[in-house]
Amino acid sequence: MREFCVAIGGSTLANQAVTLAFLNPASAPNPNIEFLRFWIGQSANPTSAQQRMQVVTQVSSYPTLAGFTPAKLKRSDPNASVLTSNTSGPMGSAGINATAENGGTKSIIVEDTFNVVNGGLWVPGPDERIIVPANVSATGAGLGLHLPVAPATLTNWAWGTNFREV
Amino acid sequence: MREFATSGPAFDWMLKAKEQLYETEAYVSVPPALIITDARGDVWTLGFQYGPAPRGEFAFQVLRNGHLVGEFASRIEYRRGQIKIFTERGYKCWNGRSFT
Repeated sequence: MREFCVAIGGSTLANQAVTLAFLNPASAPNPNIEFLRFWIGQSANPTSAQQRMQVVTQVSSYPTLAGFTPAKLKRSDPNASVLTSNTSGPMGSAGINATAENGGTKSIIVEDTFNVVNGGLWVPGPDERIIVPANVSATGAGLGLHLPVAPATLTNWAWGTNFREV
Repeated sequence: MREFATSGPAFDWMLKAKEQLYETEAYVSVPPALIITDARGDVWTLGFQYGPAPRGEFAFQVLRNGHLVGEFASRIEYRRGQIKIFTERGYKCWNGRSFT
C-alpha cells in the first residue's frame, strides 16, 4: 500500500469560501485515489462556533491554489506520489489553501459541521471511503476539502487528508 | 483610602501574564472532534496507525501532545474533567501518567 499525506498548519485563509486542499488524480492507467481521513482545526480562536465543511468534486475551473507535494507516510517508499505540486489543480496535481475559487461547480459528497475550538476529524470506515478514479478525460474530477463559508478567524488554521494510491 | 493587602497580589492584572489555555467542553469526543484540550492544557487526538480495536470498530494510536501513550482506541472522550478512551478492553481513564 502506498499512502500519502497532504497537511498544513499555521495557515491564513482568504476571507471567503475556501478550498483547503484539492487533489486531482492523474490520467489512467495511473492509480485511483482513496481518501482515508480528513481533518480541520485551528489554534487562533478560543470562541466556540460552528463551521461548515464539505468534501466536493470539481471537474472544471479549478481553484487557484498553493502547490503542495504530498508527503510519503511510508517513509521507505521509494516512489513519490503520482500527484505533483501545482497551483491550478489540473489532472495529477495537489494544492492547498485556495486564494480564488474561479467559479467551478462543486458537487458535494459530504457536508458536515464542526466546532472550531475542537476541530473536525472524519475517518470513514472502509466501506465509506471515497475513491476518486484515475481520470479518463482532459477535464477530470478532482476532490476538494472545502469551507463553504469563511470562518470568523482566518489565522492559524491546520488541515489535511491522508490518501492511498490504489 | 482603600488599603491593599501586602501578603499577595489582589488582581489578575497585577500578575505576570499566563499562557492562554482553552479547555474543551465536557462530552466532546474524538472523532468527530479533532482534538480535546484537557484542564492541564494537554492536547489529545488519534494518530494514523490502527491497531487492536473494540469489536466492530477501528482503533488508532492515542496521542497526547503529539506523543504516543501506548494505547489504541476508537475514540477519546472528555467527561467530568477526565480523559477516557474506548479500547478493545473497554473504557480506560487517564490518571495523569497512564491509562488504567
